[in-house]
Amino acid sequence: MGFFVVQNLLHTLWLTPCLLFVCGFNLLASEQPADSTSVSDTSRVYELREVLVTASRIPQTASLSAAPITNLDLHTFEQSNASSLGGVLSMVPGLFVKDYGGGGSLQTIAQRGLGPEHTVVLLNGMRVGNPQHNIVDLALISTDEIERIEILHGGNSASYGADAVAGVVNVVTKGAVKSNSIRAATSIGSFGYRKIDLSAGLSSGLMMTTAGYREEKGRNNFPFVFENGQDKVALVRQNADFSSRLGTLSSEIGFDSENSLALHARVFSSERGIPGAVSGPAISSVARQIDNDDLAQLRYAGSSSAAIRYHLGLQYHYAKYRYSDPQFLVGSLPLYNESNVSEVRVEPGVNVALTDNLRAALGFEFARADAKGNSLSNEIRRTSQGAFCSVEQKIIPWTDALPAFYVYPALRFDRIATSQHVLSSWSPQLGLVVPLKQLGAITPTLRASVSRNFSAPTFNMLYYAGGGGVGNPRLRPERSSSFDVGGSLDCNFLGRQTATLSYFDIDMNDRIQWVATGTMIVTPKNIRSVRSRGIECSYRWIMPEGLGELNANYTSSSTRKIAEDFAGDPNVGTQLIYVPQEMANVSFSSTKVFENEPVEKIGGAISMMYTGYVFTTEDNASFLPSHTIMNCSVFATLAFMPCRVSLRVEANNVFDESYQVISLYPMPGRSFRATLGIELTE
Amino acid sequence: MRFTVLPLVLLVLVGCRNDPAGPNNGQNSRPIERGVYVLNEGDFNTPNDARLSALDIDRDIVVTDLFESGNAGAHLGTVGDDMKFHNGRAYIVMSRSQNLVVMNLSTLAKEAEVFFPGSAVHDLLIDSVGNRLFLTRLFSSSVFVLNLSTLTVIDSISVGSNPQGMALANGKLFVCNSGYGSDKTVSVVSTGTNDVITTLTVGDGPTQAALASDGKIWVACTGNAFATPPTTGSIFMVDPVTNTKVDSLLFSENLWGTISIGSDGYAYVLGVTSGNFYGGPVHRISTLTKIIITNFISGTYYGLAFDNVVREIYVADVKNFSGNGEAKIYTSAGALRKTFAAQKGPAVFCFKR
Repeated sequence: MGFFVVQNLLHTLWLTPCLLFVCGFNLLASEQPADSTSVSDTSRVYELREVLVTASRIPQTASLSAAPITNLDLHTFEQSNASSLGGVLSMVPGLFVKDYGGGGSLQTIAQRGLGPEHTVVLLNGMRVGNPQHNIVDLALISTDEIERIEILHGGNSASYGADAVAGVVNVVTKGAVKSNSIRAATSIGSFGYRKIDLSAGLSSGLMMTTAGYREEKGRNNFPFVFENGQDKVALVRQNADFSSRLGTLSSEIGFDSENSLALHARVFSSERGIPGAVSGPAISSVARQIDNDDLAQLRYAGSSSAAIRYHLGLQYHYAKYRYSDPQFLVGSLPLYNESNVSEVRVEPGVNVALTDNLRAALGFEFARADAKGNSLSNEIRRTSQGAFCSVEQKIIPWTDALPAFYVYPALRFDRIATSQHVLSSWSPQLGLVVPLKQLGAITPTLRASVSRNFSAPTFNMLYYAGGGGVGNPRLRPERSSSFDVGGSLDCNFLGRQTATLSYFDIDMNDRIQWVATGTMIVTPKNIRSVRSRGIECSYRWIMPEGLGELNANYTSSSTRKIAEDFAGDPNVGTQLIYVPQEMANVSFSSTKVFENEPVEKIGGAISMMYTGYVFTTEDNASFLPSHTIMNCSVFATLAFMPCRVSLRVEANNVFDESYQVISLYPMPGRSFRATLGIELTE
Repeated sequence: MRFTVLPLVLLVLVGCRNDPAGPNNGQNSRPIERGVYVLNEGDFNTPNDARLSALDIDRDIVVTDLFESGNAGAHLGTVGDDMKFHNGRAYIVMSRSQNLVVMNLSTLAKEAEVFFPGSAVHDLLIDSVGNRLFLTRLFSSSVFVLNLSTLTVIDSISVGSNPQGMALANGKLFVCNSGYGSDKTVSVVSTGTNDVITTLTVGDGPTQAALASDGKIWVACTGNAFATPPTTGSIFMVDPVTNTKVDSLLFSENLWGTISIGSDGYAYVLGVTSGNFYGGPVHRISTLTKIIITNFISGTYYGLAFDNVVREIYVADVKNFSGNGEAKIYTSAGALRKTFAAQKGPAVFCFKR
């Protein structure tokens, strides 16, 4: 404990001058007289950048969501320094991003102690998970593409169907820009990092179009220390290089104020070395992985009256994966795995305001996924149908002594079928939100939600036929019950402050585990029961006078095996591996905007992420120690209209902490990155 | 504002839980004069988790972390797969850290270490006559030939898929190409030229081989539970003079693949326990009559060895890798004589007299 405290105090001593530096120019700036200073804080409206979210598929604000919601926007991206979706999500309470070595390495999400296959990832509201393994590699989605992210915590199969057991992540991409513009940016950084980002926007009448191209690469050959008892061997990460190319096209046609058509298309390819696990000082890997991920979405939204809005989403998604390892022979041939997965989705829906106090969302989802690959036993076609209905009922009590409150019942039916495997599931949910009476500057809100959720076996679980394992077509879906209760406090005092607290409890049965069934052969079975409980709290303070924004959150959770996997299993009650019992994040950013000055904006951000220790073995005998990572950045924008120049300098892992998120996968130490951008706007 | 930010940061950073105490990195212990050494495989995903423990016969105590105690806390490596004793030294191979460690059995000090980058070295065999050491490369379909004195690689022999166990007889090396059930061949290699003389087809998943008292090589095959139709375990007897199969035994269930030939006239093999994941019971086969007694020792065992001096059977229970395992000693009549503690994943036994 003593060492831990001293270590963190040392970090804090470093942190303090950095924070003061970041705040400094704003404190100075705030000394200048300004009109707004004469207005009291309690009477000023502070922009929370609260956006409409779709927790129950009914547009609503986050404060009226029955399930806890985290909204991340460009401001949060600035604070995190993250270049990928995974880096941003690691700032969110309850989310643990499993990072297999930084740079272009695999990143997966683990929410509320469950696996990556238990969180649904949406792109603009439509599911993008690969049905072969139901894992989204967060490293392959750049923050350059993202406008905002909505994270729905807790089970939500009633709205989103299969796999929404731990939560839903909806990534909203940047749409078409509303002016004619050209933007170019380039980045350079440690370990051979290079990036160029080009985009052009065209706006003409009702139509707006933006096209973009991005190239990113890095050697990622960072130094690290391999420990063997008391010996420490200095090594350099090998075969960790990555390169990716992304082309995007976003177009919007606004027929009128109510009817619009939006297109989003992306063509992505990447190649990366797979450095593998460092299980000894002489490990050398030459494995390579090539990914292609192409997607096209067409979304139409319209209305026939003020009370009825309808929408239709069409999506085509194609993913190709190739993995080769010349050192790993299967017979006399080097290992080569390839898979091709394509999916077509059609999602019509309607939102109806039946009365002032009663709204409903009805919708359908139809999907057909086709997969083939040399690690699957046969070509697979899966068809999915889902139908859901969500209702928001505002109830006004008979007496003013009681507050009005909202009830959110929802129900969904899913049927998912392959040639050998059919599952159907009803998923109910009931939510409650009670906005309490304002207490001075504070507005408290209480909420609760209970739901029944499920997760469908992936193609690999059902039909894997590659080396070392065999799929099991007899698998049942994983079932879970989820309960959430919590509240929030909104306060207009010294700016805008919001605090939220949630308690969650997920009880999961029939969890699928890959288990050994012979010499080096594993197969999945429905054998595990898991209970995950914990609290998530967050705090956001948008300070007055644009002084800055502070975000802090803390998660404490316990995810334990509650029944024997096999007769005599001694590990009942132990914490699951790679589930930190504690996580905490603090980030602060400050931006000063100057009017009519060549320097348009200048600012800085600092963030610290603490991840508690994680067990790496089921008997909880081995663990990875806790780590604290600090990132910081400064940025400025110069305006010489119509040209705007932006500069950003980032330092990551400032204290050069040596750590691993996944055992045997070292993470990079201190690194730097600089980005220069030029934008021409009409 | 400044005074508000700092306490918040402090609260988050200092208010968090301590890390657990670190794992035991070894204890002081003196070398074992007489005893049975146990190579504990360790956890697959924990670096440097392979451990060497021993039952000291004279003191009747179990000593753990033997290698650490003789090498200032340094570890063997990751996933200990095989161990052989020769000329006062232990040769220990780790597949996941891809290294071979030579330890002096008198001092417990490491005498040499060789790394094989890119090669998951898995089983080893020492040819004291030819002064060579053979190492199967699990995912490279080949066998390394090392000079035993210098530990340098002098040749590489291409064999079948996922080679594991080996046996030496009549100037030939017999390599089991397991394919994890998908291969069914044994490569016969001339130790004079390091060339493959012939390839024999046996049962699915040949995994371990041993030289029996009748001069035949007994090859234990796992079978393939995932083939269509599934195949069960078998033992094939190979004549090392003619390089031909001379007999075979078919089991009604799969085998784990481990085989040990006893000096009591029996061969012992491990089966597979239905519903369990790491090994199975001990079956006994008369080397003379070929009569099989299934479940001679019931239980689920991952490692097996026969002590030819006192004629006792040693079995290792890894307890599903859910914690430290244990070892048991059975008499040749099948009676339990002793149970002693091991570390995580006990897999291989070697005897020092």
